[in-house]
Amino acid sequence: MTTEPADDWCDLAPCGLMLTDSSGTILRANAQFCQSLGYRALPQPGAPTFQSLLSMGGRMFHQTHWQPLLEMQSAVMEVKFDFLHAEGHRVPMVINARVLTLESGQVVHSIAAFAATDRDRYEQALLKAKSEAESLLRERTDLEQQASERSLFAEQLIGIVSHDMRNPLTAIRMGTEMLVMKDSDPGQLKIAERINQSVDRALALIEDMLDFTLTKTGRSLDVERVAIDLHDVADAAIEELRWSFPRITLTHVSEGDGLVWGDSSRLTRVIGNLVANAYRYGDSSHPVTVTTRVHGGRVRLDVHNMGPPIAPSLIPLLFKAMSRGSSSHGGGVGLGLYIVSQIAAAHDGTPYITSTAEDGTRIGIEFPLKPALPAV
Amino acid sequence: MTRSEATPDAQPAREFPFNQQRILIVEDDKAIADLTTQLLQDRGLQVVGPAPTLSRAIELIQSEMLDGAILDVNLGLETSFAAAVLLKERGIPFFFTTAFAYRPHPEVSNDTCLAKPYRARELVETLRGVLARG
Repeated sequence: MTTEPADDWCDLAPCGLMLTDSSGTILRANAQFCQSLGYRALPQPGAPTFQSLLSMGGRMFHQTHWQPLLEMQSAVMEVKFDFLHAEGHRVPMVINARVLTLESGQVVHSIAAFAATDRDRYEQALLKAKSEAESLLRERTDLEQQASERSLFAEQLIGIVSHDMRNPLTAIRMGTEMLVMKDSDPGQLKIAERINQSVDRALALIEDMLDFTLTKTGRSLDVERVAIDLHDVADAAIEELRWSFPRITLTHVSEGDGLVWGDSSRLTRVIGNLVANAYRYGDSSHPVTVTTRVHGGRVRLDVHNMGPPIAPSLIPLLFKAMSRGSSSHGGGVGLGLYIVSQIAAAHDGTPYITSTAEDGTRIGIEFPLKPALPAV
Repeated sequence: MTRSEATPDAQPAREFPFNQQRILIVEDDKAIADLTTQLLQDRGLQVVGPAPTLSRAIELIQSEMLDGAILDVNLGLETSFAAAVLLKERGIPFFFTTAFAYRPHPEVSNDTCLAKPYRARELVETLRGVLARG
């Protein structure tokens, strides 16, 4: 049992206070409540009940939740309602309410209303931030999708170009060779050799481009590590390279037993790219040496040439794509050493480089004899 | 498909004589077809074709006397595999050429295959090896 509250005391409260009967008809409202909603006093002819002060959504909530909650637990705490101001705008307020029985025996609802403008603003900001985050996420997903489509397109494009380039290159190579077949003029033969080297360079570029596209779209190179004789692989590669670089002396130094687990076509590419590099940047009056060394469970495969040393500042950049030792040499967009480093990585290994004026330049890869997991 | 297969170095193959054998060329690239024709004729061979399409290749296999064939795998949107099947049925030696050097065709894994761009000498020696093996 509670005594009826005094009007003057209620008017001093820092929140809206209201008393309604059990059907919501307003019995009393303090000055704060009336003021919050722009009324001089409540109830008014146009606003006779608690629910008549609510927005449409508020009324629905009142009907579906308020009444049942009050009946079940005799109180509701911190329920947010959108009220309607006398001038028509929305006023969000947080409501606490209790069911009371007065001395007279009348059942009433005692309601306290707290302005929730700040909280509402905060909630709105939260909602807005959430929606912005969601929209950013969607945007990012879209961009990723687009990037993935673009990279797939690039890969397909390069695949097609790579295939289609081989036909004209075949014609150039065959035609050049046929032109000098019955010719022994050294000048003509030299021109034919230059053309053939250009064909080899174009071909190497196509292969590097294919692999570059593959690795730059987030995939790793296809590498199949099987038992091979690395010394034999190097011999075969060198034999092939003598066709392409007849003007340099290519030698092979092998150390240790040649049995290693590696991908012979990829390791042949390493030798090809490194020899092409040695030819392009080195002093071709000195031999170019391919070394294959198997020792203590480690494999080293490198190519050595004499010639001007590589500037120390450039060394860290050499295995990155699109870098070039020196622009004055021309030729190559710097994919060759990047591919070498990718092949090293695919063999669980690393590339290395040493370069001095006295000892020349040695570039190669080192990797474990066997893969970390047993070869299947 | 390995290079050692493509470049036979057995002595008998090197000695195998070219003597007006009739060789079918299936190739859709005009420049390569023309150069191959000239190359084979210079070496004392007769050229049948060149056939730029599968249907023309099949027509020639069915109508001409052949001693050997060179088949480019990709002919535009079609492949020459159906022609290879026909050649095998008739016991005519042949080899493939392909521009997909790093994507071998599973269909040709047991047949000799020369990767483009090949050298004129490689083409001649591969043909010689295939004819020698019969």
